[in-house]
Amino acid sequence: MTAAGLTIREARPDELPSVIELDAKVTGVKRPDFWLDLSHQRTGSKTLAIVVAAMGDEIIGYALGDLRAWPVRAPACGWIYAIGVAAEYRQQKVASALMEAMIDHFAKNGAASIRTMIEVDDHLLMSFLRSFGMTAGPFVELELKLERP
Amino acid sequence: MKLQQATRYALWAVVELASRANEQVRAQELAERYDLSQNHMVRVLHALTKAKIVKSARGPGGGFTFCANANRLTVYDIICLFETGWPNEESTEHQQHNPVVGELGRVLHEVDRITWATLRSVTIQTIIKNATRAAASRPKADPAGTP
Repeated sequence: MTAAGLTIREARPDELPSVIELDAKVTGVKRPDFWLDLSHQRTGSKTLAIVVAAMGDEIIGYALGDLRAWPVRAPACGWIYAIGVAAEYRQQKVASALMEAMIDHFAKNGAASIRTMIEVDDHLLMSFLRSFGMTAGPFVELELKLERP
Repeated sequence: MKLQQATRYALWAVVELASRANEQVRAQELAERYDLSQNHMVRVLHALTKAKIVKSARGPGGGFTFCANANRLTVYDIICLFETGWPNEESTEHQQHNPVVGELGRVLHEVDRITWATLRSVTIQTIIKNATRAAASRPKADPAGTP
């Protein structure tokens, strides 16, 4: 059942602090520079989307994505950078509504596919994304830890 | 990835029954639908009944009904019921002091980690949704009957 009174829309600039705060609660990572940098990029971009789920004036969820050709050798596709819902509003189809909005945004901007990158142990998020039909893509993320001298 | 016959039968049966919630489906129908041995399917269904994933009703109108939560039950859960040695004990070979044993263990651990993450994130409901989506996007058969 979808939360009553839920609105999905583009984030207003004055809502960014609320999004940053909610993202910190959802991810456990404070990253205001990440959000501020993307918010500045959005001014000159037609494809970068910061979408929020709102109950009245309260921001209860967010999604962020852009149409990009990098970082892998592939045609431009929609990249979902972040999606999150406040804990007390989960299991009410809020994330699904945010995801639908992102899919719609990318489709309108000509994307033929959507990609994202998540932690391999985040089975819950992976399960959610797979429920939309997302599957493993043709690329794999590799990592090298640099040892400090 | 190679799975035992019983595991594959179980996965097909679970997905079929979950997609027909509240229906009682006979073992014979399941076996015929997937072109399988009925005896083998019956054994698989009894194991699923014991695991409380399906329930059975006897009699003329009887059959098997899905009774678990398709949004929570995963492919990994079914595999663990039927495959010998699952769930695998997490290998500690990558922690070995011998560097060759440790490195090979690390590579195998990497494969296991991705495999488990994939299987644990695919719910029965996701299989149903994606199969339905795939069927809907197939081109319709030529009415003239051209193969």
